[in-house]
Amino acid sequence: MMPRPDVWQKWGRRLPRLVLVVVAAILMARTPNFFRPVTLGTILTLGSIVGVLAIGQAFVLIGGGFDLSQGATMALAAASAALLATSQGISPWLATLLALGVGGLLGAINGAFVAIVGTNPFVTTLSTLLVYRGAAFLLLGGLPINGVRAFEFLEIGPTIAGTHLPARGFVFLGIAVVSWVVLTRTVFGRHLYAVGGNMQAARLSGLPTIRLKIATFALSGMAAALAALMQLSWVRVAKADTGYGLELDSIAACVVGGISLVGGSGSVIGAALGCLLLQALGTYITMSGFPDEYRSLATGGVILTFAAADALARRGARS
Amino acid sequence: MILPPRPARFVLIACLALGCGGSPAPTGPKPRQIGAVLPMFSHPFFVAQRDGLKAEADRLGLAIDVRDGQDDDQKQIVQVQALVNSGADAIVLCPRDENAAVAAVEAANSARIPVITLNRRVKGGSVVTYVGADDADGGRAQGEELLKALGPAGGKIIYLQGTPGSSPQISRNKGLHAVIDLHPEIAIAADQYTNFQEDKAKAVMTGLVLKFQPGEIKAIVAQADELALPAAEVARSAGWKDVAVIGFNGTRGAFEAIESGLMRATILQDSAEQGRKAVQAAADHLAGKPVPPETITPLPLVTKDNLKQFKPSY
Repeated sequence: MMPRPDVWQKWGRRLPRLVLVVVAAILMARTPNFFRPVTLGTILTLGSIVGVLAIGQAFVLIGGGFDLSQGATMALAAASAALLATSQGISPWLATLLALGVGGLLGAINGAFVAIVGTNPFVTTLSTLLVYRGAAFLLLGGLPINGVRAFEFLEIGPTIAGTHLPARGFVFLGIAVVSWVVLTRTVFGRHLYAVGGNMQAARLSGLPTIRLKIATFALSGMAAALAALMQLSWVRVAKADTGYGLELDSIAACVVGGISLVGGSGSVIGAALGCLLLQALGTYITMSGFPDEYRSLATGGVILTFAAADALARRGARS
Repeated sequence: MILPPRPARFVLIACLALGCGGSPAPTGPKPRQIGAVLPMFSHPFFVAQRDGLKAEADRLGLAIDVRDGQDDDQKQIVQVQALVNSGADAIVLCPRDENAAVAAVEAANSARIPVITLNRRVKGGSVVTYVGADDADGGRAQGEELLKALGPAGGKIIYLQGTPGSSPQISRNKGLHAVIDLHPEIAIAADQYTNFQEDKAKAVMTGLVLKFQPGEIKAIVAQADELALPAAEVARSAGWKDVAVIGFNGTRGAFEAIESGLMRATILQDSAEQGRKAVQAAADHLAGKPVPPETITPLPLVTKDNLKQFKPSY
């Protein structure tokens, strides 16, 4: 009876997740008006910003890194984008491209320190978090840039079943699918899992580990810049504290989505679903009339449950 | 609680410490030093306050060193200590937290440096004077305007609060409740904290428009314009009509929204003016002039009718 333990283990590993998702679905179904198009559309739209961050974070985590600077990168990218968009002669499209470039560059700086200098990813991105946020403050002179309307193309979208669906929701879904294809169907993706799983082995087998690692951080930075543009299209204000703390939400989405923090495993689709689950939970809490303070309590509980389920499953797999 | 000022003692001690020989006026080539610590420079309210402090110090020929508390109680305490050590003649402190800042005031007290609190009070230590608005007044003004907007029929409202436990949140909340608690026809249907952040306000409001039907909510009261404006936009795009939105702070965006009808009113709080008044109080105190125990700056209600008489705070 060889396959039995395997099947048992596979489902045993997934069981806590399934139970949690089912319990969440039951709770949400009991809330009036929850499962209707407008609520689901809202969850997708509200989750899209952290969702894009989580996809960027997933690349870094799978490659064996860790990116704490995403929120600060958002602030600096948003400040750059808003300054560019409000200056003469720069079209929104050029401002978008330049902002994505800024994000990619900031991420590449993180990657260069981690891959070339060899600093710890946690310490590196903790430092650049402070540097980037400080730079955003200096760039803005402490004052917000209000009424930025250049990026409204991310806010327009079709109205389906009476629900306005801004483009940023579709951008998030599109990027999730493209990233999934890249990670599972390309050489680059397979190499990334190899680097994250065992850096030494990957290097000895001739993979360009330094370039791969820098690429993951650059992608995370670009994701942060895109998230910043989405946020700008939504609230139309760039401030020094734009995106404050969102790096933790993106890491949380990855953990809930089953991405390992030690690298080499996990799916970007998991990260996207993790983000949507956490957003659904948040929207449920607001709609059910609980004060928002419960949101952080419940979110923390969910993340810990998912992390514990993973840890127990891994221990089971070893023994 | 603010203790009565003891200007005579402070001046005497300040003069002894500086060896200025009984003449309290700045006579030598070295101007008097004012040290100021604000809660954070990352909010435009405090940037405007910083600019007000600097402008008035320049006008009066005083040297000023304004420091960023970086939204951290401990940093504020350390910075006050540093300013005391670097020979400041007076400290202007806008505390991040009214309790935590007591340690900062006591540090200055034990070095016999006069302290002026700005914008938020401190619950302990000895303070020369308090300069700032009474946030509870602003909350009451919001409540009065709400009564006017809803009329005798009353109705359900949404209340968007700032950062829980922060002094503006507590006082504005107290002021609003002092008015509406006497009116049972007004019901707070949703009461949410948004940490004074636009995106949080917009996200919370996006959830709330799913919970309530159009027409169910008659008004939105927010503890800052940064919350009121995004909430008003979400309500409007959800097809809610005739919702009276009342904000706080008097930002440029709120002025435009009142003009266009998106918002009904805001409470103007001029932080630069508060900064200027605080430096004046410090200068008067250092010159040996009597300073009143508190200077309350007004919080006028701004509506479409009187918009032209005021300028936005930032």
